[in-house]
Amino acid sequence: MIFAMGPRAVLLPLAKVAGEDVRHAHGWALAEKHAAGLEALLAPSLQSPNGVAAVVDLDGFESMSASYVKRILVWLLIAGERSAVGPKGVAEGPPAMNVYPVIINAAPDVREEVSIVLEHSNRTCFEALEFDGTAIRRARLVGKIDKNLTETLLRVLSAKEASAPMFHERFPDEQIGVTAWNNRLNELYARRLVWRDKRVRQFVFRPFVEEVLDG
Amino acid sequence: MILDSGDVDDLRRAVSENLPIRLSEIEDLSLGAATELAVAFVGWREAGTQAAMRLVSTLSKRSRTFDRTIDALDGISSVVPGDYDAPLLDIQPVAPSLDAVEWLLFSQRLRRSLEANGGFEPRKAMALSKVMSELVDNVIEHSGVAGTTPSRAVVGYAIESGRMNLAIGDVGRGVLESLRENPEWRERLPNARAAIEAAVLEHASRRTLTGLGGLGLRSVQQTLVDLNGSLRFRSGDAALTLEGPGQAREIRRSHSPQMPGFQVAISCSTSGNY
Repeated sequence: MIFAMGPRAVLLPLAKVAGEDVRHAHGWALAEKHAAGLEALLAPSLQSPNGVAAVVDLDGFESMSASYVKRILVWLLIAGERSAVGPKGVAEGPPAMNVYPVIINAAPDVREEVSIVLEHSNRTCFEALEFDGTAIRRARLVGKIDKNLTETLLRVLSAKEASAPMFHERFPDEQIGVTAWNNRLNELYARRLVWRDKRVRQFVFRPFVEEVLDG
Repeated sequence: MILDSGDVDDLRRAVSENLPIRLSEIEDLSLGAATELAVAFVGWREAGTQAAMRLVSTLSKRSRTFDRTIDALDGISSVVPGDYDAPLLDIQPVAPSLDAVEWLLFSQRLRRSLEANGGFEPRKAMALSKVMSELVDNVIEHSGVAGTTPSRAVVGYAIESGRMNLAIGDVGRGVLESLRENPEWRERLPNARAAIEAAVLEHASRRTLTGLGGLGLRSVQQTLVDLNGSLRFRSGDAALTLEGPGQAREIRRSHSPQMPGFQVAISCSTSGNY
């Protein structure tokens, strides 16, 4: 079972953090407050050796503003990126956290706002469609990702595990070099769409969702 | 006559050039005009400009909108509505120390009033309350130097049947200085006009970290496209006005006498005619 080794999935009910009467989550200030609650829920799991699939449950929210989405979701995505590739000299923003942000139960308006914000920031995350509390069975992508990366992601899902030499060997007709495969896989990892571990001297990339709906 | 933001530019010019002002003709100020004039007043008060002090004193007696805007810019909430009220006029200081819950309540009052008094559909009311939050965030984020306390600011709305006005203004460093913090924009912005256009039309941000900035004013515009609104952005010595729906939106650029901060005024109606 490959998922047993991957990031530990944790459900983070945002409505519980926000309080029952908050159906419209607008503004950075409110998001700051809720983010503190979310991070407190997340903290005990952050020691998991392969990181945490932070499944942010948006159930109960009818609308969210761009600032709110940025502070809650983009912030987590940047924290995850930083754990994968470092802060790249930019001091502002969150500290590195080995998280793989995922959303679930987004109302149509909320999903639309998340999508706009992620496209603007050139980021992507999974929206879980089936989550049983421990594993994400089905998901789809929200945000912006180019076609090559989407195809690579689907191949990782199909193969269950991947490395650059492995894909170079498996798809010889595509004229994609080992370095190019490596770049694509590492970008998926930086975007927190796959996780990776090291086998002897090479990285092996694996999915943490079982099925992804394309398109 | 009811002064609007463009009239305030003329009024401020008259004050700075010591020209006669026919105060008897002024009955009231729009919320946007009140916000810009209140920001100007802060500078006049510090400079001790007597003619301006008389002008402000007269207008604050004549216009409760203006009077409350001045109070709010001084950090005083002269009217505090109840948690479940839906006031027609609500003007509050933007104080970063306020708890997020107070902003949530303000946002909820705006939404309730838009629906109950303005006759706006719930979905539009919700979109407009998002606009307000984005603008407040913008002040908190950009009016002060990064990492320091934001400047004094005021936010308010005025609602009548089928119509809404929203205004926000700060006395901070303005859009030009804020955007120049970002190396990507520093060399490309010769003046305040270029800075406003970059912020409003190109979604430029002071933040260098992609994804955490630059989208607020875009969502403001997007919402107003659907509502056929009018938006005025003012900073430094420049103003930019967007009027009309979607693709037919007209962009007007105008000179506005130098003043600190960034001010935004929004007007829209349920009928599409603002």
